[in-house]
Amino acid sequence: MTVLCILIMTLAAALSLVVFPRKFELNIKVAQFLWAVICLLTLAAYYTLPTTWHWQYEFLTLANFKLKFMLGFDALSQVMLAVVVIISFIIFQYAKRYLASDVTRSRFLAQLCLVTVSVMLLILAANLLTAFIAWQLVGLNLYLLLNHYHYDLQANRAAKKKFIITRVGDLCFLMAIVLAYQQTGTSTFESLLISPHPEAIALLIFIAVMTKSAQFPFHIWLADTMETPTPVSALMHAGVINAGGFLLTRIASLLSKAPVTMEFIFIIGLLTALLGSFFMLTQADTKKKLAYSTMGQMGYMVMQCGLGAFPSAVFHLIAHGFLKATLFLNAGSTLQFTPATRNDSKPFSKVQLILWTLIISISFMIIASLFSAFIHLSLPIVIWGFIALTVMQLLYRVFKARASLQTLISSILGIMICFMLYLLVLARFNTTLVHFDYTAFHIGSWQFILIGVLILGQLGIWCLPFYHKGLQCGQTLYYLSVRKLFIEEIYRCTLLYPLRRLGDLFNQVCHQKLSAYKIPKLLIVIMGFLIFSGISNHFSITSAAITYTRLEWFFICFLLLAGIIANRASTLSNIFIWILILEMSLIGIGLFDQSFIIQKVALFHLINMLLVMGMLATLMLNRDVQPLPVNIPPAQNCLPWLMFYLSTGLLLLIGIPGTASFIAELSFLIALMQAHLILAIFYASGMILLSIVVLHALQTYVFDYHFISLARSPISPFTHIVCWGAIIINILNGMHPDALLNLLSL
Amino acid sequence: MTALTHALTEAEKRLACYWPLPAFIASNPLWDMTEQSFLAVTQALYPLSLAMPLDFYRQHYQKGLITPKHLQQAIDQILPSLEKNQQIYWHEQALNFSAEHLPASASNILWSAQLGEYQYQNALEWVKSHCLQWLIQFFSENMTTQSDPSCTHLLNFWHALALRENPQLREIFSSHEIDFHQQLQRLLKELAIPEHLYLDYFTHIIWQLYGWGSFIKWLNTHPDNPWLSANANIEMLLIMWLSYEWLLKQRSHYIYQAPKASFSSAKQSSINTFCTLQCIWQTAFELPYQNKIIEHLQQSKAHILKRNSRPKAQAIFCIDTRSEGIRRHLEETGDYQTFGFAGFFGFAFKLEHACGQQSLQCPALINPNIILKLQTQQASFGLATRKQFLNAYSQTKQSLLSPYALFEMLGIWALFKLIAKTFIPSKTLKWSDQLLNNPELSNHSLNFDQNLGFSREEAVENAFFFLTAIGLTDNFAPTVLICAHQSTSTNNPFAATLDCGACGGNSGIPNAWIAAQVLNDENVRKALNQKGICIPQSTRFLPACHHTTRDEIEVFTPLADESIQLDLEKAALRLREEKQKSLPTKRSIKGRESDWSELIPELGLINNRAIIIAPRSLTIGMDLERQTFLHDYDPSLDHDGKILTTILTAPVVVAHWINAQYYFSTVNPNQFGAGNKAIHNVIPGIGVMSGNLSDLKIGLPEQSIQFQGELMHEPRRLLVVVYAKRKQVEAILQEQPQLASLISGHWIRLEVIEP
Repeated sequence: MTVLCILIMTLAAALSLVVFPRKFELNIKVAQFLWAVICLLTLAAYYTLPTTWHWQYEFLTLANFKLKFMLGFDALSQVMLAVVVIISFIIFQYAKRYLASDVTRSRFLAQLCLVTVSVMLLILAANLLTAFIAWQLVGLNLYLLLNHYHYDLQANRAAKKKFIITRVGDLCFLMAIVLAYQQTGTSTFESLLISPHPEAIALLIFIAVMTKSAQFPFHIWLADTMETPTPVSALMHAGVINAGGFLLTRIASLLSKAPVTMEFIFIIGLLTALLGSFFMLTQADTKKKLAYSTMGQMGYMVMQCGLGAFPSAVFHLIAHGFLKATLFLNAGSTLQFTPATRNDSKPFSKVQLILWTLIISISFMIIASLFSAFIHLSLPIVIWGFIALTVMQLLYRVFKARASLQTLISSILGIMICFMLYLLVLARFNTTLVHFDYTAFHIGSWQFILIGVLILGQLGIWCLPFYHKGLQCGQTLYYLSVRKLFIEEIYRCTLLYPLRRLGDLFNQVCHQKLSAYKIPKLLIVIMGFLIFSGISNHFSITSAAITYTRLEWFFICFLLLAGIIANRASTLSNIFIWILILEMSLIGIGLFDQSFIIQKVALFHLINMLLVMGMLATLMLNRDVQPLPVNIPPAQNCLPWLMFYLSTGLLLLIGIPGTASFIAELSFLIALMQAHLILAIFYASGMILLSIVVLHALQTYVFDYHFISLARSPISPFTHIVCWGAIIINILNGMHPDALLNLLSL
Repeated sequence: MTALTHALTEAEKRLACYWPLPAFIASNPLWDMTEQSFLAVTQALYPLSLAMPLDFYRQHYQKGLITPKHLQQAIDQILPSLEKNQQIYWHEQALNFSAEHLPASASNILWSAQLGEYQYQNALEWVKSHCLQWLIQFFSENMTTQSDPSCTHLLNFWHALALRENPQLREIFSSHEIDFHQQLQRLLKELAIPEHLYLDYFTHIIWQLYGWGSFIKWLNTHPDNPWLSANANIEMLLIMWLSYEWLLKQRSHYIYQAPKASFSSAKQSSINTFCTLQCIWQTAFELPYQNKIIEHLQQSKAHILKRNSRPKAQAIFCIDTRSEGIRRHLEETGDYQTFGFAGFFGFAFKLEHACGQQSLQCPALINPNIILKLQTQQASFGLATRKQFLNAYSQTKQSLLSPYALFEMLGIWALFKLIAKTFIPSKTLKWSDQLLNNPELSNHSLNFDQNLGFSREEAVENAFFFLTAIGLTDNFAPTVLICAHQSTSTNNPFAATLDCGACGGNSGIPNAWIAAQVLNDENVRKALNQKGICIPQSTRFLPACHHTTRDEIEVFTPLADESIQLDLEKAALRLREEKQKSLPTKRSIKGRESDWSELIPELGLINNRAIIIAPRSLTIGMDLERQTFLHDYDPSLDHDGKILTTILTAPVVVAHWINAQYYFSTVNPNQFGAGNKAIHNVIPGIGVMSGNLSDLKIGLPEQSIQFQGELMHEPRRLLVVVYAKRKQVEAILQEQPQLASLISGHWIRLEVIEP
């Protein structure tokens, strides 16, 4: 019960910030009081024994399975809840003062609380579906926070990029859930064990983790998110980004049955860790340096998961969270000139230096291994290797500083104490958390080889002037690190530009502004579509329901097409029309499904969609929606009502949990997964396209203040009523869909 | 002079001189253009606004803060010798002119701006981000590491790296033209930019890369600074920009459409009207305050008394506006006499700190050649270990393979730091000072080498000038405090903007120490005696410090008279009470300096608007609301006007710089201000940029100027009031053409009050 109280209190804190008057800072005082209570409750929750407490709410029944919202509380959530509350409270306190000169401080603080609630939900989730809902809410709230200065185009772009990339992961996650439901009928973490395809589920979830925790190659959003106040960065890098590691730990039992995925996790983690550090080395500014450091650390955490050392991963994410929060919140104090290093005496030559370092490090590691046997600490070899690397580097730096013998010895002793304390804490931690037998994973010789290579690499770095500009090789490395290996450019050229070119081409067709030489191009594209659907149709013949699948293919193609066109449509009304077409083809998929329930959901979606579209249409009625250069100063940092409705309406379309479109999105995915896996994948990409379209429209027509004349037009009370009506009905339907669904079946 | 060189020199004048942020010196960003009048510069830089929008002034007019009389006076000042009907015309225009029909800026004069979109990105942003990326990399490489000489040349560095990405660029640099001008010329020709547009074109590039351009200008004008030596100039910056545009040209085959050379005459005249109106309104806005203060001073002239008795104690403060408050309150508490002099107290030097970094302890106009070393305390055994450990930690954090386990090892302990810094910030500050024992922070440990570095003659000369300039030549009190000022703030990249501008954006404590030490020296006193200043044996000069954030006065050597300490505390308490009212948040003054989440540790020199060069007796008893610089000056001791010349050319110029820094950061925060502190991203040793990637942000941040969207600083240009003979002042102005043009061009206003 305490746990539920904590959740409600945090929500209340968010609410109080908005509801209570800003005069005398009353709202902030109330919120602070609530936070104090939350801390006490967390303390209480931390010291009560974890029970098998469960709370569930069944919000949708679809034919053969019931979708449940389930919360639970165990040892892992106990630790994580404490960590999240501490970090959030400190960041709340910090932000309270930090944004004192900002007009919209209350809104910002309320959003901080909302992020905290969503993260708590994720921690308390007892099944995959709940975890997914929390996962999405975290993403949405973070999008809003990153958009705090929404008139700033840079901030907006970064938020959009993050949202779209995580959207890819979200849909993979959703597919994993559907798979789990289909195979086991529920999605509780325990039931995943009996799933016949653990690899597929684990892999899909891991893709979601990759996007959320900035793993290569989805890391590109991370360094762009600095256009937002520092507390958001701190919260993101200390808390939210760790969600990936937490989720992997949650599904540890599933992962034990998926060795191939584990290897994949390990490789991705290691690669991300190395790349993150590699990029970090050449960053000039403090915040991006910290961001790439986070990327490396996240890689390390995921790598630990890949080795099966889940308690270590959790420990790592907590330790990293505290340290990163400190570093970010203190990021303003890194300005001072770097003092010139003085070369005084030279007691060690390089060879001596390395030799001494190695000797002391080896003796350290021997002591450590004896000690760890004594405290029952067992870690995978690779992790020992990384610890050894750190010890080596610390000792090397100490030796290199050329201090007196006395200082040298005391420094070494200091490092020793730190090291031992660390091992002790880690051992204590390992016993309290979920136990995972990583020895099941082959401790192959490759681990030793890997560590050997890494240690040799470390020695190489010491010996060679790595970043020497004069050297061609050093220069190339420097260059690659500055340009981040061109990963973002590769994305642009392979995904973004073709998509946009295609959209432009189709748009030109629709507006009859086509030059002669573009027609063959277009023909080729359409042929491609046809051939593609033909081939897929050929494969889908094996499936039972031929006619339906054909129809579904038709709708999916239409959906994708509409998405591609809408993405490059030049006016808001055009976007509106194309989204309408897209939604129609979605409903088409549902209506022509064999299952009666899916047809019902399609009707359900039709009603809700028409409501939202009607609301958007009311907003655009008789209003000039052409982008026009009008300068409206963003003094209030607050959207006009029209813009607010427009953005809410658009966001209601993309399937955020709690809105009606989520129900439809989920149900259609279930239907398609039963029909054909490839179909489902294309459907998912269609959904991603839809989010791209919506976010792009938000950016151009809502947030880009400088180019919108829409904002100035007044709003009638009638429009207010229509909009609020549509929003409330939509959300009610999303929360409790059964009401309307039952009505439809009559 | 060719069109190119002319354009280059003119364009360079538009740049500010931006000191690295840790040693921030306020400056007038348009200092090199001050030979023209304010009005002419406003017209030349249109559409860049150099005053508030007209509505701002009209609101003041409607509230009655500006009266029609003031407006009339302003019109007379800006447009002297107008006919009657012309005056009425301008008066009407001032009230009714609408800025809506002004021609929009010729924003697409740049090649990339004309192109619009390149590969679905804004072409201008594409060019800008590429230039910025390499500029940031170049300067931070040179600032943080002792890199090999091959990378201290901006263009070489850029060639070596950027050419890898765009091998096409090789074509344009293949001929090995070493001369930048030739390269520039070639690029401009390739882009087909007509000659008459060169200046406009360069200006537009400079507005895009204003921060780095200004930084480069500082670098070139201060080649012997102790922090950075790199080879970069404006030509290189322009070459980089133009090369990227050239690259776009190769790829997109767009042909440059040269915009018309100038606006049509009707448009030009409406622009001129607008600019003139801005100047008129700005002047009218300043007049009420200026007239009032001049009137006050004229009246109090009659009451000036020469002091004939020894006061209980004397205190010499910096001219800083913040000193005015503490001086006023100190004088109210008892028989105290206070003085104002630039915060370096006449002793300019470089200070080398214990960790090896140097700071310039003098105004920016002086380049000191004396280096003083800060003597560290006996490095204790524990201290060395702690420092070494921290050093090892930070370097391990910055390496390729070792940061991972390090975060695990130490991360958990960061929780304590987090909690301590959030909930008990002031104690944490103390602890961390003790832990690291920074000699800069714990003032008691300031102890200089016995050998001061100044020769005796220099020391005597400086001391003599210092004392005569403020008119302290007799009636020495037993205790004379030399009171520097220092601001303390945590986690604040703009800390230097709150420190003593006369000490190079540092704490003035070292200067106070040196001044006190010199003035207490037996031999110096003997020499001063020969020059006619007799300091009694009983008089002691004591170094002290006014902590401007928490408003306390700390005296570093024990006071003989305990009641002085009590009075100092009483005065500080009153000042705190007064200041608390003007702060935008209700937060008490005490907690501000140690809190890491405080973006407004103090208000600094906000609302500075005048400098009064006069004996204190002229202004005594007046509440100047901490808005004026006060420089003490006794005309009877300055027969040849040498002291006045120095004051007018040094402290007045520094005050003007500070004033202009505030003024321009307020009226045009986008171009001259540093933006929102909440999204600042520090580039170590250089400054801040905003967010992910932006130009170097120069000037003052939003938080120093406004609060929740409302202005805290009212933009007013500096009023200089001099208590001296008019003839003498006029003679000085004739000798100092730069000063004269500042005054005639309405950059500052000079008023003389005759004794």
